[in-house]
Amino acid sequence: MNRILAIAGLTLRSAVRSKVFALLVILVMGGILGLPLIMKSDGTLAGQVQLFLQYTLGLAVALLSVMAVWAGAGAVSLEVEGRQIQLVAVKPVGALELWLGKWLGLMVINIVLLALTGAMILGLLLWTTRPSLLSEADRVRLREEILVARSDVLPEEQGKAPLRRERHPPVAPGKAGQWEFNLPARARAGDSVFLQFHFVTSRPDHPAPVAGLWLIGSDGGSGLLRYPVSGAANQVYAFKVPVPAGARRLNVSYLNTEETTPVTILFDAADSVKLQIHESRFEANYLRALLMVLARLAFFSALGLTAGVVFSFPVAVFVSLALLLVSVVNRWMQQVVAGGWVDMINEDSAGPVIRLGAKFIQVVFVALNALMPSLERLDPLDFLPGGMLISWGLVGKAWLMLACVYAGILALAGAWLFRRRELGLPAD
Amino acid sequence: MVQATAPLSPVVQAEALTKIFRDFWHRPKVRAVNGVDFEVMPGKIFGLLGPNGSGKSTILKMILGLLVPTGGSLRVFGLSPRHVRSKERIGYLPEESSLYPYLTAEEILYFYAGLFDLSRSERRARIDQLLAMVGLSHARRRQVGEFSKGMLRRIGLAQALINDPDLVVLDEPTSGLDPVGCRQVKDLILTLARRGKTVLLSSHLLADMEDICDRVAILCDGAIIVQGAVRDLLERRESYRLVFPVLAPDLLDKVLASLQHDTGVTPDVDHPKRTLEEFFLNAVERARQQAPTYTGVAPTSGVADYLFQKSAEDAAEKERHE
Repeated sequence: MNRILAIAGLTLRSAVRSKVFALLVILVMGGILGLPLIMKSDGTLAGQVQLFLQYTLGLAVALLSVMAVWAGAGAVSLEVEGRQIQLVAVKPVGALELWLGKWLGLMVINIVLLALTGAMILGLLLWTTRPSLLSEADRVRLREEILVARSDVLPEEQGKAPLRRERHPPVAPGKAGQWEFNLPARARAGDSVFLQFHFVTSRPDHPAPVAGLWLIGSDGGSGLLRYPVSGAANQVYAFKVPVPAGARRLNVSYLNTEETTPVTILFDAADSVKLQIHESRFEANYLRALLMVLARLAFFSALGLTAGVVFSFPVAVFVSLALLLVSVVNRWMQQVVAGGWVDMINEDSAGPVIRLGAKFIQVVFVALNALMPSLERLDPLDFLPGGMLISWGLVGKAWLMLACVYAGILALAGAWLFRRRELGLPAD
Repeated sequence: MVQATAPLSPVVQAEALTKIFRDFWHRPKVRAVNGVDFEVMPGKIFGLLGPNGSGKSTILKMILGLLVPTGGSLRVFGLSPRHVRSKERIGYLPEESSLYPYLTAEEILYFYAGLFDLSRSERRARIDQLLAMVGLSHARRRQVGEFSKGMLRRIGLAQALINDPDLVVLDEPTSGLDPVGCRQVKDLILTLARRGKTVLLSSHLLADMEDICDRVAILCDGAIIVQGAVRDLLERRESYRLVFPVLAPDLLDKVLASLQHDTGVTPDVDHPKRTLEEFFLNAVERARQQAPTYTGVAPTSGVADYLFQKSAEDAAEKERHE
């Protein structure tokens, strides 16, 4: 353990005393401070806060990711180039100890930088939304809809499994659609439940808005609550629903009341109508988001480190970033490959070489998809700006997949490759 | 009654050792070491001598596990050179400085000591002793990136001795050092050997090798062309040299005449000369005594205590065996 700690300490020192690293840190901090000055939102407070979170955190995560790859790739490759690694390799240090020591040092750097940037972003957010600047209504809206952690409750289908894939029947003019929701215990206090919906119309040329009426009843309530609405298609709408104490179920109906230009309404997505319930404070959700980011950085550092064991520094950075790009567009690539993009090639005009080339690329993409983690599914930015809950389960999944499984495989591969490498080869 | 003891086994044993460097396509490019056989016995100073590109550094790197032999066998302390247990007993000074330029002298030694699992207090004690030994106590908090070449060799030597190694591998140990530094390093190597350490070094500075090595192997184009004890290799058995104190001219003529009469050969007569190194060191010593200031490297304080202690135990053990 002493050896691992000694190598970790050295990695930390090398980063702290590197001028390039200092420059990157200044770039990250400058970006976080400067970005809000050039951002343009939709003019609403909610939009402004969402945009701030999305862009500043997005920028910080992107830059920290590049730094993690950069520092990881250089941790071994630059020492091979400078021959410092020779003096370490002749000491009684195992290849895995060396890899783990380097990774641990990189993780300390990641933690410090993430804590700094995270604190800066949160501080800026709290400062720009401080009570003296906002009205009471704005403050409440912000705390209930954006700076909060909420989870979705999808409707039941007549008491069976949650309605996930099936489309809801169209709601013709004068007709009603119905949904039933089982309220989880934590929502029964009932002070922060929202109904969120979005829809499309059967006629894409239909002029906005469309009028409708939401009717909401509960098993513990005395009567139906009525919410008249009027809005354009393809927008997301939400309103607060008071839930009586002790209520276990909500019955929700939508009556199509559009009379001027009658049109059929389609709630055709699985989550077209859903409840959103308060789960935890924003600050706790923010902490979980940072932990997810840290799991990603752990993977990026491991990827750079193992690439640096095999390749020279620039090649290691290039290979790592290329693989990350593949991971980021993983889902899109899967769709393209699954959709059979080879079929898009004109069979008549394309020669056998082109068809073979396309097949080869398809195989490469499938292999890369199988090898690399799907980072898109573990992106906290999909949740945080929308006030969506990042559960501990999701954080655990990110750490298990990225920091344990993938980083572990990279550690073993890196150690094996390091053992096979001849470090004393003469320079070309 | 005489008790039989097992013969000492070699610290390094190479048989038909071969190294071929290959190109990107794995085709043989250079045969750097070609079927070399040699043994380095415990407590001896073994020198690899040869022109540039003769394979000295390649052999050292194979012994250190930095290169993998293409053919033949190589054992260090009876183990593979890549075995962690053999590495625990080796100290290595590379030809070029391979130290982290952003660390201070003290941090460098602390880091390498950490790789040997030494306790914190032991690390501190050894660092103090080694820095004093190589004359860098006053520069302990300076980054090694600011060091002169001579200072880099000294701190490199200190890191090579941090683990109190049984085998010290030195690649061009006096390269970049001034004559004072060279003498100190040579004295240190001799002291280490006297204390039971095995020293394997490479150099193309023949005077250095002659001064300190017990045995040398002369390499050319990757092969050993000559090897043996330095005394045996250099001794000219076809003639004698007699050394007298200064004689009166009459007496000298008489001695020469007598020798010529008995042998039929006219002996050569001249005054023995000091080496330039010896003369230089005396001159510097006198100057320092008059003005005891220094820049870069401070006067050193002999050998680190812990090197003495353990080595003395080893020497006693060796004597018991012999």
